[in-house]
Amino acid sequence: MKTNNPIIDSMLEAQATALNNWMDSAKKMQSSLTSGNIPHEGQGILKEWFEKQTAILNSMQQNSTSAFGNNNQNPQEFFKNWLNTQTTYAKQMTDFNQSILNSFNSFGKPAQDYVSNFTTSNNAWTNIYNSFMHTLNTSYDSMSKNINGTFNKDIFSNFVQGNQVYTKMLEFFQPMITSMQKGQFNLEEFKNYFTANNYQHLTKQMFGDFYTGGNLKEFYDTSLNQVQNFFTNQNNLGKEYYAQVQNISKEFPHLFTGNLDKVKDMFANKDNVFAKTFEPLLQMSGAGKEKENIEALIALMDKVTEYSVKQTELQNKLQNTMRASVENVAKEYSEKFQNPDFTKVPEAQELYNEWIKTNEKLFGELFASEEFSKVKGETMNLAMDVKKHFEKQFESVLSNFPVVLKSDVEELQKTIYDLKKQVKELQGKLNIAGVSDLLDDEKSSKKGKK
Amino acid sequence: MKNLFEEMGDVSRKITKSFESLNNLKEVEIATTPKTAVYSEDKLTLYRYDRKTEATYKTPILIVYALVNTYKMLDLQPDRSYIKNLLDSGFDVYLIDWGFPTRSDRFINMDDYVNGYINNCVDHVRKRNRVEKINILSICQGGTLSVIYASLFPTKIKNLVTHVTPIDFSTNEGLLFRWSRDMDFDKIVEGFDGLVPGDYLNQGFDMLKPMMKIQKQQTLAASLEDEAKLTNFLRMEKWISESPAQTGECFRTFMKELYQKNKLIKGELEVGGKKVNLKNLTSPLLNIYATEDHLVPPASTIPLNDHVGSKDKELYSFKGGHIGVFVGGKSQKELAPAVVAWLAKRDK
Repeated sequence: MKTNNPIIDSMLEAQATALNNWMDSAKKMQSSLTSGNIPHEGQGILKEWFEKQTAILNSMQQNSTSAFGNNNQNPQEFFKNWLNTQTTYAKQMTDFNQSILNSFNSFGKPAQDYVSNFTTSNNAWTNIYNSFMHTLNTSYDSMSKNINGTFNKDIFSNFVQGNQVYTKMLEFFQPMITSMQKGQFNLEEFKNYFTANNYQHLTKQMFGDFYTGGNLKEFYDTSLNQVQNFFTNQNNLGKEYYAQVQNISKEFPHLFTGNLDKVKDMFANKDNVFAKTFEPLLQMSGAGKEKENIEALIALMDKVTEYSVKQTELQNKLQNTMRASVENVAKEYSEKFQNPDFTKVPEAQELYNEWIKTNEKLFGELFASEEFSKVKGETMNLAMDVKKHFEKQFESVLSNFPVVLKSDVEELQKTIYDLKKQVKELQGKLNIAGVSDLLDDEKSSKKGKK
Repeated sequence: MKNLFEEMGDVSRKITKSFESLNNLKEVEIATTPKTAVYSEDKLTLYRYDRKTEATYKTPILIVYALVNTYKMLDLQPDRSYIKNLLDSGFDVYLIDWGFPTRSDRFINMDDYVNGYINNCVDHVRKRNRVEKINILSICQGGTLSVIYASLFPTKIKNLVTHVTPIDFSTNEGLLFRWSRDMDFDKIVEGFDGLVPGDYLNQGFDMLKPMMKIQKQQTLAASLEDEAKLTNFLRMEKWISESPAQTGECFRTFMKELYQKNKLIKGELEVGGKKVNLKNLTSPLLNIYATEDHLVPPASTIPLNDHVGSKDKELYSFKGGHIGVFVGGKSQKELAPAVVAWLAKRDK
C-alpha cells in the first residue's frame, strides 16, 4: 500500500525489508541453535544480517534525503539513530545466543550453574527487550509525526503503547518459557527473579495515572531550597529538619517501588524532628510575610507528605495485584508442566490472553474491595487538598504584585453567573406568549375568520 | 513458543501495518445525520434533525443525553444510528447538545439544567411544533435529569422513555456507586476549580473494566486489514475521545445528593427550591435497562417504575451492556423499533 508521502513510503519499504531480513536471520539462528552449530555459524549470520541492514538503511537514506528538506527533519540524525538501534540489536542478539548456548552446555550440571545461566540468559533477553522498547519509543515516535490527522496519530500512539504492554508481558514470561523449553522450570526461582521495580514498571505502563513521583520530587526539591534559604537567614536553625527532608527528596522516585513501611518510617521521622525542633524555632523567628510564607510552605509539605504515603499505599496495592497476577499465571503453567503429558509450551498470545483474564479478575476484585475504595478516596481527597494548598500559596506570593488573582476571577465569574440568571428570569417573565396562549390565539383567529 | 525475534518481528510488523492503514485513512466522521440548530443558550445548542417529508407522528421527540461524553453515540454511523432510526420511522426529532462547558460555567447547577435549559428547550419544541406536550427520550444521567424534570413539569410531557438511567443509588453492584461513598466531592469540585474534567471521569470508567483499554489494541490489530472494520473501530474511539467536562456545581449536587444520599428516590431532593416528588411523574413511562450494564447496574434503574405516579409504565430488558443499547446490531434491529412502536401507540 503506497502513501502520498515519499519519506513514509521509503520508511515503510525499508522497515518491511529490514523485518524480512531480521526474520530470515532469526530463522537461520534458530536452525543453527537446534543443530548445535551456533558457535560456528552464529557470527556469520549476524554479520550477514548486519550488512544487509546497513545496505537497506543506506538505500533508504539515498532515496528520501531530498524529500526530508520539506519536513524540517534532520535525515542524518534520524538514520544515525536508527542505525545505532540496529547495531545495539546485533550486539544483544549475540549476547543472547551466547547465553542460550551456555544454558545448553550447563544442562545436567549443579543447580547453581543452572541458576547462574538462567539469570544471564534473562539479563540478555532484558537487554534485547530494552533495545526493542527503545525502537518503539524512538523510531515509531518519529513515524507518528508524519501521520495524517491528530486523531489517527493518537490512535497510532495508543496502539504502540498497547504493544509495549504486550512486549512488557513477554519480558515477564520469557524466562518461564525459556526454562520450559529446556525442561527445567522452577516456580520459586521464577518468583524471585523479579523485583518490586519490575512490577512497578509493568503496573505503571497500565495505570500511569496513579504514578506522579516525578512531580513530587520537583516539589520537594524546590520547597527544600526555600526552607534552606529561610533557615540560613535564621542563623542555620533547624538543620536537622532540613537533613530529614533532604533525605526524603533523595529517595524520590524510589519511594514508590513498594516498601510502604519504609516510606511511613521516613515520613514519621521527618514529622518527629519537625515537632521537636521546628515549631519552637519558628516561634522564635521574627514575624513577617517571609515567616508566613514559610509556615504555609511547611504546611503544604506536610500535606504532600500525607499524600505521598497514601499514594504509595495505593500503588502498592496495584503492584501487589500485578505480582499476584503474573505469579498466578506462572503457577497455572507450572502445574501443567508437572504433568508428564505436558508437551506444548504455550504461545505468547495464549499467555497474553491468560494474563489479561487473570488481571481482569484480580484487579476487578481489588477495585471492588472496601479497602481499595477507601484508599483511592483518601488519595484523591489528599491530592485535591495539596492542589488547593499550592494555589493558596501562589496567591499569597502573587498578592504583592499588580496581577489579577484566580480568586478575583472566580468572584467575577460568580457575579456574571448571578447577573445572567437574573436576566434570564426577567426574560422569562416578559415572555408571556407561552404555548397555551399561542394555541388560544390560533383558536380565536380561526373563530374570527369564520 | 515462537522464536523471540519472531515475536518482536510480529509486533513491529503490526505497528508498521497500523501506521500504513491509519496514514492512508481519512479522519473518521461521526454524527453525520443532517440537522439544523434551532435554539441556543450559553454553551447549549438545540438541534432539529432535517426531514425530507412531514413527520407522520404528531408528538415530537426531544432527546436529553447525559452530561458525560456526547450525544454522538446515538448517531455513530448511518447504519448504526438510533437517531436515524427514529427519524426514518416518522418522528420529528430534536436533540440537546450540551456543548463543552468551560471554567466560566462552573456555577451552572442542577436547577439551571432542569428548570432552565431543559425547560427552555421543551418550551421551544412545544411552541415550534404547536403542541402542549412532547415526548422525552433520555439517556443515562440525562435520564435522571429528565425524570426530575418530568416530576416537576408533568403537564409538558406526553411520554417519557429512559435508557440506562440511574435512579436508586443505594445499590452496591456498581463500582462507581461504591467508590463515590469514600470521596469528598466538595474537595474534588474545588480541587478542579469548579470544572470536573472529562479525562478524570473517563479514568474512573476505564477502571470498571481494567483490561479493556489494552484488549482494544488487539481489536485494532485484528481490524487493520479490513477498512470497514477499522473505520468502525475508529468511530467508537472518536466518540470516546470527545469528553466534555462537567460544571462543578451540577456535579457536586449529582454526586452528593444522589450518589451519596440517594435523595431522589427518598423524595428528599430539592431542585431550584422545589421538592422533587416522583409520584408527580404521571406520563406513560418506558424504562429501558441493560442486563450487563457495569456503569449503571439494573438494580439502580429498575426501581424507577415502583416510585413514579404513572399508571402506564413498562420495563424493557435489553440483553447487553451500557453502550450496546445504542450501537449494537440488536439495538438497531430490536430496541429502536420497540421504542418507536411504544411511542406510536401513545401518540394520540
